[in-house]
Amino acid sequence: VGVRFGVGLFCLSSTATSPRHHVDAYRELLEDAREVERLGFSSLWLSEHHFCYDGYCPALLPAAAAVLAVTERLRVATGMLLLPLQRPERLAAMAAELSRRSGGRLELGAGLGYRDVEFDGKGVPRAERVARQRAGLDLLQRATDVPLWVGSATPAGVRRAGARGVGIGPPGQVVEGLREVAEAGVDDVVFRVVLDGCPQPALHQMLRRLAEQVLPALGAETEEAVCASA
Amino acid sequence: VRIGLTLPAGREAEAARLAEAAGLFGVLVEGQRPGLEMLAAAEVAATTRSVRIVVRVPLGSEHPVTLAEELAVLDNLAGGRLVVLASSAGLGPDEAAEDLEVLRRSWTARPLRHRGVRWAVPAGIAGHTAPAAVTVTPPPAQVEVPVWPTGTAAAALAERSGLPAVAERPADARPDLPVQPAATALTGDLDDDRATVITWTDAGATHLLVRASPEAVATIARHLVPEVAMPGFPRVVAESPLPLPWPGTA
Repeated sequence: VGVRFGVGLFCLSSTATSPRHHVDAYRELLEDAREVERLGFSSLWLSEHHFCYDGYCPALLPAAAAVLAVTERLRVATGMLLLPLQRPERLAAMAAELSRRSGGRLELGAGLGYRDVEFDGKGVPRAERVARQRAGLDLLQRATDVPLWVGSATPAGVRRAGARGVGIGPPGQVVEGLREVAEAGVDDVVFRVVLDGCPQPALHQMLRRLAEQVLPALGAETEEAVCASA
Repeated sequence: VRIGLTLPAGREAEAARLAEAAGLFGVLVEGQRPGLEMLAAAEVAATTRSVRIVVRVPLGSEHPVTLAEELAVLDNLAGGRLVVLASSAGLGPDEAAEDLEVLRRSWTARPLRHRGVRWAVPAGIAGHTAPAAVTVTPPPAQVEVPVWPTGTAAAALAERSGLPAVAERPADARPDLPVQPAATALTGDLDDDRATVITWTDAGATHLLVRASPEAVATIARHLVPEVAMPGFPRVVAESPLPLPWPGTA
């Protein structure tokens, strides 16, 4: 079992309690990504929503392309991209191209989405989301060699993901699902440390502390836990 | 006329840095397939500071709200340097006009409600929980993102929207417009290229996007940009030897 650590950012927004200009949010994203890479984290995770008052990032691949252009080793992942809301052929072409441009550093997490307003805004019936997700994943697996992740909160979902041979990005506490993860044949764990809502100097200080003091010990514990569950 | 460079596919970021260092006003990003233009434009945005990033977007390649969101992200990444070449691609004039309208209204930060032939936003399929309107966020960084129609329906789009279509021939340029974008190819031969640029200047183009090799950028910056900026620019200035590099510079 390999254990790696990634950093999740929630996600380029300007909230009521932490307001900022979106130009600053995107500039800080690129600065944060370089710092995350320098500190030795394996990946940066971006997430998607639509029609939010805070300007939450609605378009992950352009943001990922910018991050990949200013980094060299860091993997950039979508956690999660809302697959049912996009045209799968165009998305697959974009994912394949971005993977090619970045030396294979893109990872694509695909989620179903759950906010009614997002489905209604894009004219996608919510009842179709599972079928669209399945068709989209089929196409991505056929047309690209981008590593895929799916969001799943249930044991059945974890087993489905295992059967498909893709990664699993469970929301919330990961440790509860370790048994299912191990049974699904998972041999690699990426922890996402999700950070948000603090000014950039504090964020960077927190990242340094995590990288140097907290995560090395957590990595060893997780490895033991997964081995014990399996 | 201001001169910009059409970037070669696959080498966009590198060529954009050359164009920026040479002082060109902007660079044109085109995708080989729909969607890829957004990725190349994002790379250019992340690796340049000053050039305008003109991105050719095929209308109809995605939901216009999705295109608007991606372009708003790009404009924020670029610190407000985005220009959109809205290509009618395979759409007819009516179809392209509807997509363009939804695209542009999505950027206003107003609640958006649209009922058209091609699109209903919001779609109203969520029953009683359906919102009456949605606000597309984040808004672009610019007050108004410049949009230049291009493609087969460009003239019709320009007429309906009041936006300036990209002129492909000098006869199509409108010197009465405050902004008249144009696109042409340069050969690398200085005399030929000088004649081409002067023809476009005389026709009333304000922004000329040229297809040229990245190696030609230095010549464009040294000869053509000063010559079109100042009638009677003395060629002896452009032809004089380059100054010695400053100590400590490459």
